[in-house]
Amino acid sequence: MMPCDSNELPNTLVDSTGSLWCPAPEDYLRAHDRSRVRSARARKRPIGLMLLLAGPGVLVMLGENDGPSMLSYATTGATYGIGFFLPFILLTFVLAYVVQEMTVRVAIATHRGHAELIRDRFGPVWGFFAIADLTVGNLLTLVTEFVAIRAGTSYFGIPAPVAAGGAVILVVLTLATRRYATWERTVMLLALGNLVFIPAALLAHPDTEQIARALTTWGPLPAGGLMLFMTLVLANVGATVTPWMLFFQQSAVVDKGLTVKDLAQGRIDTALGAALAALVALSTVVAVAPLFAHHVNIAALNNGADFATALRPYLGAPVATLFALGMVEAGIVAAMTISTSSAYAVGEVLRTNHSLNSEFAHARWFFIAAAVSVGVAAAVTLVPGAPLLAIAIMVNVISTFLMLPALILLLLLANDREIMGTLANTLRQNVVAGSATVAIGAIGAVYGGILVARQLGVNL
Amino acid sequence: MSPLERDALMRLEPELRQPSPGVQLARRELSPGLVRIMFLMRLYVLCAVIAVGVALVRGVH
Repeated sequence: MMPCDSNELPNTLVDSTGSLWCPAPEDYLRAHDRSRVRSARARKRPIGLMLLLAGPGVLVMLGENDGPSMLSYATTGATYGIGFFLPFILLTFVLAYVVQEMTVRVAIATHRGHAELIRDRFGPVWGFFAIADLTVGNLLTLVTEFVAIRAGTSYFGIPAPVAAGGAVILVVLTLATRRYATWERTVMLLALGNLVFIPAALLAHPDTEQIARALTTWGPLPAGGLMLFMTLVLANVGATVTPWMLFFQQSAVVDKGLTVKDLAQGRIDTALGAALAALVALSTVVAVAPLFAHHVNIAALNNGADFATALRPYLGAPVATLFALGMVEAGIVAAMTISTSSAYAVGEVLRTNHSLNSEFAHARWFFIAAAVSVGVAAAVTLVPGAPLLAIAIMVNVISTFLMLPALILLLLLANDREIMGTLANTLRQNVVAGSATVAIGAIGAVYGGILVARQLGVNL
Repeated sequence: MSPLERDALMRLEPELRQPSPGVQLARRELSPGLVRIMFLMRLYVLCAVIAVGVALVRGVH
């Protein structure tokens, strides 16, 4: 709690324990938000309550349906069509739910962000690792988001500087609301734009029987080279679970002010986000599957605009337009959530205010970290001859390599009974989460290893 | 502070009040098993950083 000084006496309260309390500006906003939650709960309005408490889960899942992830799903659909990868992608979102649900519980039990907890509980070395992993990984990922924005907007003939500058302004404007609830609702509204891939899939007139068969039989199995198949398996896992998601959802749940009473809604929020994101991912595979059916050479398709242009002759201009729009949305929403996760982590590690409810003067480093990260990422994409392909590869390498320690640290925190109390992982949760960690960690490490080996010129 | 604000603030759960920046949790006591896990993780991260570094340098040249 904020300490009181004599200048603040008019705004001093005596709390239920009899101690003096000087509410910070953030407390006024959070008190207002919690009043609405209490009122919805007292009036037994479950949908109203859910609408108030939903946010971090939906945002983190739709945020991870970012530019590179949508490209992974599109490449999968164009390479193998409808088959094994539909149920496989569904499974990756189940894994994502298992992992992200732990961050909700850790946040509710500790009311601390992920970076802050790692530093406090495991010491400065792991605190430094967490912040270095996140800031470097996030900065590189942000570059790929701006590449996606550029590619998507180029389909509409918008010049690159206008697209990149416009996206930076949009990200900064949402931060300037200085209100967590407003920021969250704005980004959620934009994130719903991710759903444009669903009508795109419907306009492709897919064979519903084939989709049902694929989902129930995991077939047909992909034909062709093992290396390509493995790369897409790993890329699809990397498209669903990444380190920034752990940091973002935990910090966002803390900033939103969820308590133990809200755990059920926090879980539903995460499940809803996973379901929506999975639906979008599957729709992308289905929408792009006609390229597989028409044996289109996908080697030349490097970005969202290429896919939109390739789809046009087979599915028409509306689907191509939706695809390009979806890529722009994916990049913008990811830029907002990823830059905010960097800002939370920087604020937590520097022990300064780190809330979207804070005024700029009280949380300078928080807002500067978010704005600078998107500004630098946008600028890099505008540098002529910037090694954008190398950056895209490095993003995958860093996030997949570092997912394993990030997951282990999360599991250790979720099992730490001193801070988790009754919300600590149960045996069943540990079996499920442990299996998910082993699977994701092993797949991530193999993927990172393959990418590094390729960089070293090893022919696998 | 209006009466409505005062009422809302008084009912705000104590754990949700803005904490003083800089308040730190106690460091976790590591069991021997956990010490081993942390050591292996450091080794893993070191190998990962070296591998990525080498790949970057080779990629640049």
